[in-house]
Amino acid sequence: MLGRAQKEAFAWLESAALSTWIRESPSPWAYPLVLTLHTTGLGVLVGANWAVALRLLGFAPRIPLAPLAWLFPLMWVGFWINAVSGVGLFIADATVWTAHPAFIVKLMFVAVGMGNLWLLRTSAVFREPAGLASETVPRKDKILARASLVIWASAIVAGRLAGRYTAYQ
Amino acid sequence: MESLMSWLIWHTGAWFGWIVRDYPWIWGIAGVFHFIGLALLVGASGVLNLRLLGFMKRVPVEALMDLMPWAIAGFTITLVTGIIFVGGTPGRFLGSFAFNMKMLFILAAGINVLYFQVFLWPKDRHVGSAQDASTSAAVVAGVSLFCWMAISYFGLLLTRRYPRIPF
Repeated sequence: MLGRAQKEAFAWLESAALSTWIRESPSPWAYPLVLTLHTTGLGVLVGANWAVALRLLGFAPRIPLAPLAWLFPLMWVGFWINAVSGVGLFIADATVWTAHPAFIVKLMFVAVGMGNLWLLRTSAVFREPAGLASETVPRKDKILARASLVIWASAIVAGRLAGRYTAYQ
Repeated sequence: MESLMSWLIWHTGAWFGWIVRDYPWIWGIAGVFHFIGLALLVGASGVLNLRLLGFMKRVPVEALMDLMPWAIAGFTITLVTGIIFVGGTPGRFLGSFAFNMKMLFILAAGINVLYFQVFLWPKDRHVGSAQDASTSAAVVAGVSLFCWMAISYFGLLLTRRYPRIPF
């Protein structure tokens, strides 16, 4: 899948001092911390998105929708934690991640998931005053909510598939 | 007596480890669901924690309890998949410092929830729109979020890269 020059570039990236430290340091603050940040970001981004999605799909109807708009910037914080920690995990095992198409598939699911999130955020149900009452959720928003459940679950599957040859398992 | 016990454990439980180790996809699927469960648990309970800490104040506290079945579902998923990990390769987990710490923080999180449910919920459930939850409830929420990160951290110390963390 990759050309020789690309393979060499990823091998070089993997041999960089920071990559080697993340991968090989016996310190419990090296790889485990980067991975914990990645899991924390997942919990924040996917967790909050799924909570909002479940509300839109009709569960917990007593929760007013407009105040939930506050969660969207938080989801972006989760995204950026994972973008940065993800770069750390990537450079540590660059040749492993790029050897498997599942990694590109995972990145695509993340991109689609963030696009889906952006579409959801623009929904009228999160704007006041309409969102303060427990009004009916438009069909379009229910589709976006369902999509978020499927997209993030798929991103997790693809990520685990791509990472199965790293020492982390 | 002890040898009888170990004979029983071996002959009744060993098949579990064989199955998990012989079929790597079981491990893979359990891994995926462990994170899906985490997201459900943290998402549903995290929103309540954030409300108790004073964010999204216009949401009445009691309404957020409606999401708790999803948190319990998420916890059940992580529990079942976690048992698959430990049952599959007990040598990696049992007796290690990181695993003990993980169990300790899960226990702490459980006591924290129980304390909230028994002592704080009867009053805090009435915290309505624009009102502050009690200080104790805010502390419980902070402890809950901290426990989640500690549980993740010690769990990730148990990966193949760190079979025995040098603490």
